Amino acid sequence: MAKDATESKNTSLTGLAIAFGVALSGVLLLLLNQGMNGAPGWSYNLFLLLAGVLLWGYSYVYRGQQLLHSRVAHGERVNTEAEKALVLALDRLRAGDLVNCAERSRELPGRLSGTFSHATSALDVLAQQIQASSVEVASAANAVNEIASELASGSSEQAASVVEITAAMEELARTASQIAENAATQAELAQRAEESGNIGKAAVEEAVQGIEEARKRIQGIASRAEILGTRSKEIYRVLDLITDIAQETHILSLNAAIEAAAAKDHGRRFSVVAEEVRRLAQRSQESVDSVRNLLDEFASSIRATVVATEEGSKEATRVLERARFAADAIESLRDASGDSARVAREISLATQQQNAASDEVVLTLKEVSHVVQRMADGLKQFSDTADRLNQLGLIIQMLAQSFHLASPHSLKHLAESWASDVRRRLGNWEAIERLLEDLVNQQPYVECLYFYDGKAGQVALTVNRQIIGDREIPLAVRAGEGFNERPWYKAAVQEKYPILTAKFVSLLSEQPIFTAAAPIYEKGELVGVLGLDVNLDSWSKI
Amino acid sequence: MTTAEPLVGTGRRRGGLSAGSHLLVQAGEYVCALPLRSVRRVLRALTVHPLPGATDELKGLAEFGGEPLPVLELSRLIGAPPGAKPAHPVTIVVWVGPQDARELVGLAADAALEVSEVQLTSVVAGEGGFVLGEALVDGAVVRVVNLEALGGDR
Amino acid sequence: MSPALHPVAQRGYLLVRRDGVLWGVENGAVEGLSRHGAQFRLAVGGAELGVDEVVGVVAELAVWPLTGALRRFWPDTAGGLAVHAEAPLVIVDPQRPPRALRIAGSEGEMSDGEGRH
Repeated sequence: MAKDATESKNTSLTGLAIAFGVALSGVLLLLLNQGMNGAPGWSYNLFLLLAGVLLWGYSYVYRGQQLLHSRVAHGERVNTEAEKALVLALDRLRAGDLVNCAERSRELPGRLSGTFSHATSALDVLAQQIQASSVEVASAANAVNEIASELASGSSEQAASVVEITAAMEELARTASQIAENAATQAELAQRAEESGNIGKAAVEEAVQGIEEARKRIQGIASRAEILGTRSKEIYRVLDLITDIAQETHILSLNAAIEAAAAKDHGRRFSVVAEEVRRLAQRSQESVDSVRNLLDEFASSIRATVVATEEGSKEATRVLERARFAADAIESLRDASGDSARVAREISLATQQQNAASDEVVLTLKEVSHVVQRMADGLKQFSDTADRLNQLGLIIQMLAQSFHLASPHSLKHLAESWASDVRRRLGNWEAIERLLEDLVNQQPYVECLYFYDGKAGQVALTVNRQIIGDREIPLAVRAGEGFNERPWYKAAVQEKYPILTAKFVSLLSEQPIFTAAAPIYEKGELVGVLGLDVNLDSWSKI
Repeated sequence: MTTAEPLVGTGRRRGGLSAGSHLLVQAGEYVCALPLRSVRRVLRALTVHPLPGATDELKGLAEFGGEPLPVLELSRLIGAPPGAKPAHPVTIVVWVGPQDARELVGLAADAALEVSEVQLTSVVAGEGGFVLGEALVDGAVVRVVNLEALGGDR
Repeated sequence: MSPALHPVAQRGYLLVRRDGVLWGVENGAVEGLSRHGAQFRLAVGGAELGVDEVVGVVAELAVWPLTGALRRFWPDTAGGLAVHAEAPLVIVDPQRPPRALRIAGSEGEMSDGEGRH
């Protein structure tokens, strides 16, 4: 435009100059002619020539003027459109809609468009970086929180362990004291046992000596009994001999009687003698029988005595063995008692030392407990800081999401994209519902997705059951009651572009959410608004 | 020859022997009476050599006074139940068979008891065989052996 | 033994033992003597007799006839009784050797008119 104006000015000045020059030339020429001859001659021709030149010059100037006017008018139009586009672009920029801003900037003239486009691109990149950074901050904050939680949990466990150990150590100290007391008692008892062992050993030795004496006496009795047994055998032999003699005598007497009978009267006196001899033999036999009976009893007694002495000797031997065994046992017991007393004293000393060590351990554990407690407090602060970082990340994300970026992480872009999908299915409500069901599961942070036709008052709504669970969708929500007055609807209608609401509590999940909404226009007319509820607990998944 | 004094009761007569004098012997569980006039000798049990093919009553052959002597088991002859093992077994050498054909035979018994009077009139006839009958001697039953029947078959 | 009979002195006898019983055989009646394993075989009166032991030979023996009481309880045949070395023995009748000495399976008929009870 300046160029055109300058050019136009120059053209006009040239025209004026030429006109002035022609006019002057004409005047001069006319004057000259008059002065000389009074007739127009070659000067007049010259004048005509000049006039022609002048007319051409004027027409040149006129064209220049026309060109200038058209150029000026074009320039003004261009400026107006550029201004308009710039205003729209800046308006989108104001709204953070870098996508539409970039589209608008293409309408800007020349370098203005490129420069604006570069600027929006740079801003887009920055916003995406900020968005990504916020997610990283949130992730880092979550990681820190998890670590802090683990550390806090560990420190809690440590604290609990310290408490347990402290209790155990105190119990150990009490037990050690008890052991020391028991050990002292044990030592005293062992001492008494040792003394008793000495007494017992002496008694056993005395008993062993007595048993030895008794065994010797028993053996003496057994020997004498054996001798008596031998003597009785000899007596039996004598008795047998006497029996034989008595039997022979008896037979002799019988034979004498027989001979006396054979001798008849002559043998009468002999028969008397024979009878006397028979009686003598009978008495002898009876005496022998009597002596044999007595001897049998005597032999039986002797045998019983021998058996008894043998049994007694065996028993004495067994008792002696047991006595010796008992003496050995008493000796061992006495030694063991001595060892036991010594060990008990050592135990007592060791438990005293253990007590002192336990006290030190308890003190140390108490200090450890304080440290653990301070660490737990610090971790809590750490965790609080991580929570604040998380919140900060969320704030930054929300700020970043306020921009409409050409990025799959931009919620406004997502809403706009899904709104386009819905727009293509307008008139087929079932298709819209199926589309919503497909879309809601594509993003894990979308809690609820819905399309509301404000004029018809119809709503297609679907929820993400992985977030909502089995909660029932209120009938009012299903019916879209009051959707016209919802902030997301009103903002989207007002802005005519995708919007983002502030956070609020969801009716469905009773958790904090915010809504991204995009208006849908068909042939310039609003046909509805698509809304998606983002669960703040899942915001880092954006 | 002296006149036989009358027997009083069944007790032994002191100072004399009569025709009723018998040698009492133990054979198994029975007490047997052998007429004294038929008794030759009372001996300790002789060593007897059994003869193969002999009956149960014949114990075997023995040697007596340089002569062979058949020995019979008295308890089997009279059918006495066996008693306890005898402490002093004897062999009674007796005359058997009729007076005109007497033979010496040995009778193996468990014991020789005494010479006693057995009233012949009180003898109760037995069932036959080698037992003449039974009699009471001092209240005890004795079986009187028929030695004449022991001889050889006529 | 019957005191009415006197002992009869005979000529030499061969003394043998069988089953613990001592037997005497008149030397002249011995027809043959052979060993048969652990036993001896004696040929007497045409019969073959088995003995466990040949004790010896004696020059003479006092022989008593068999008593009736013996025959009553011992039905076998014999030539008499004798005593040697305080032991009784039975004299073999060469005409009728006793069954007790016969070898099993070689017993022939025997006249048992005496000795049976």
